[in-house]
Amino acid sequence: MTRTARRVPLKGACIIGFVLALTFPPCQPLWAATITQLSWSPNTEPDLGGYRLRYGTTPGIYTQTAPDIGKSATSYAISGLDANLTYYFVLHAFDNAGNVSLPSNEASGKPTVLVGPAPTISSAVEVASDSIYILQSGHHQVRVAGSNFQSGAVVNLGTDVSEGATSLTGSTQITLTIDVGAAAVLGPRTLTVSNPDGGTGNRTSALTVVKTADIDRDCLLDAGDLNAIARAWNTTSTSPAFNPDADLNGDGTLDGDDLVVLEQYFGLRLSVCP
Amino acid sequence: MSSRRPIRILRRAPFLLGLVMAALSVCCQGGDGDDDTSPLPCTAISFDAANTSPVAGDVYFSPSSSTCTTVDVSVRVNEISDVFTVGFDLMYPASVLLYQSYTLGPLLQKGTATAPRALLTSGSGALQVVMTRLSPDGPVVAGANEILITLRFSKVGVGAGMIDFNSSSSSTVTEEILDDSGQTRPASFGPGHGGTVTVVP
Repeated sequence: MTRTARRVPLKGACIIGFVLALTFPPCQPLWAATITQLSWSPNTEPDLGGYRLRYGTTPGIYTQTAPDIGKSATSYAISGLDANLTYYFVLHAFDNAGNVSLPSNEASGKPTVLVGPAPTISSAVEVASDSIYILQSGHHQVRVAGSNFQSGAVVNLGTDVSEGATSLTGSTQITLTIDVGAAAVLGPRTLTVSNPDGGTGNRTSALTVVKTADIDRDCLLDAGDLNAIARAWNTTSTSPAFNPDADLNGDGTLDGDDLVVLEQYFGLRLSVCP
Repeated sequence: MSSRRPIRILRRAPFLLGLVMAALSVCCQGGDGDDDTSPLPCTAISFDAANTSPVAGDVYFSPSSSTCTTVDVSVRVNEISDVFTVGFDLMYPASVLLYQSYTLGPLLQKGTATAPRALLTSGSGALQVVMTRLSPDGPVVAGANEILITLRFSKVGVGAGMIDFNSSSSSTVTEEILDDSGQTRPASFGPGHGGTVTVVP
């Protein structure tokens, strides 16, 4: 038996509110850039199948269709819209046979831009050495741990350090590659994470720029480099025996602190030879 | 009176059961025979050095001591002068051994004002080692077969395999001895300067 298609009257099903959300809906990602929430009075027909929301950026022209909405719903939130545009919405009801109603009245408005909680940084490490040391002329992978990181977050480590794109694991870990310039200033660096929604967080002394541990420039971190430190052990910058290349942290003294830097990188193969 | 006896027995039952279990516990202690005090015999891990006739300039592995669960292997230096810094990496059978610790031998400690330093890093079946004297201590002369360092490995499985210096393309540490001016000293790390370790059940 073929059922004749019919229009489903949208009894009382008009959009009654266009709500710009002020809080995060529970099922939205915290870093949703925009959100628009609509609500309507329900259709009461017994064979109601659900609702279909159409929208666009020109009045009367609805180029987008949201996924079908369950029949018990009386509101719906759309995320990811352009915050700079005005959107126009109409709602249809459909029955279990697939018949679709005429559109509701048109609602319009601009999405609300949501700003998530600011990122926090608990630690940062150079992955290969599992240390805070990044080498001049070095190409490193860095892992940043913290919270509230968003996809597309940007990391900054200051001058003479080039940061690559970030890769996000959950909202608590960022990995990225960096290139440290040959003349990058030695010493601790403040690491800043900037989320796409504008939230920022930073950590002082997160990583420390040191001279390359490949003191003898043979692309290996081994006995030759240890020998360079050992030969000038306990000398200072005023001593004739002082070797500035072996003063890895640049503090003017060749001591255990320089040995610690070498120890962190010892046995590793540098991805870029200095 | 007699009508109360079953009640007394029931009240004592937990106490009696406890006595029986305690007795059983004492009788059956140590039944698996796998503890350190077991009289069962065990076979010590063996290390058979490949280089049993070292010549001047050789750096090579030699057996030190072993038990059923650990084996100590020494790296010896034979007749090399001006030894200040030494570096090498080695490979060992990860299926039967796991690197545990090291003890610096007497060679680099001769007459030192400052204790020598050693850096070691280990991965699965691999170990990287560098060690050095520190200025103002100068270089030392290695006489006959002097111990540079002794490495302890523990048993993780049964089988046999080679412990040897790694001179392959995977090596990240150059096998070398340097003097206190950074010059390379003539030294031979092989081939054939390792040995075979055997772990039996």
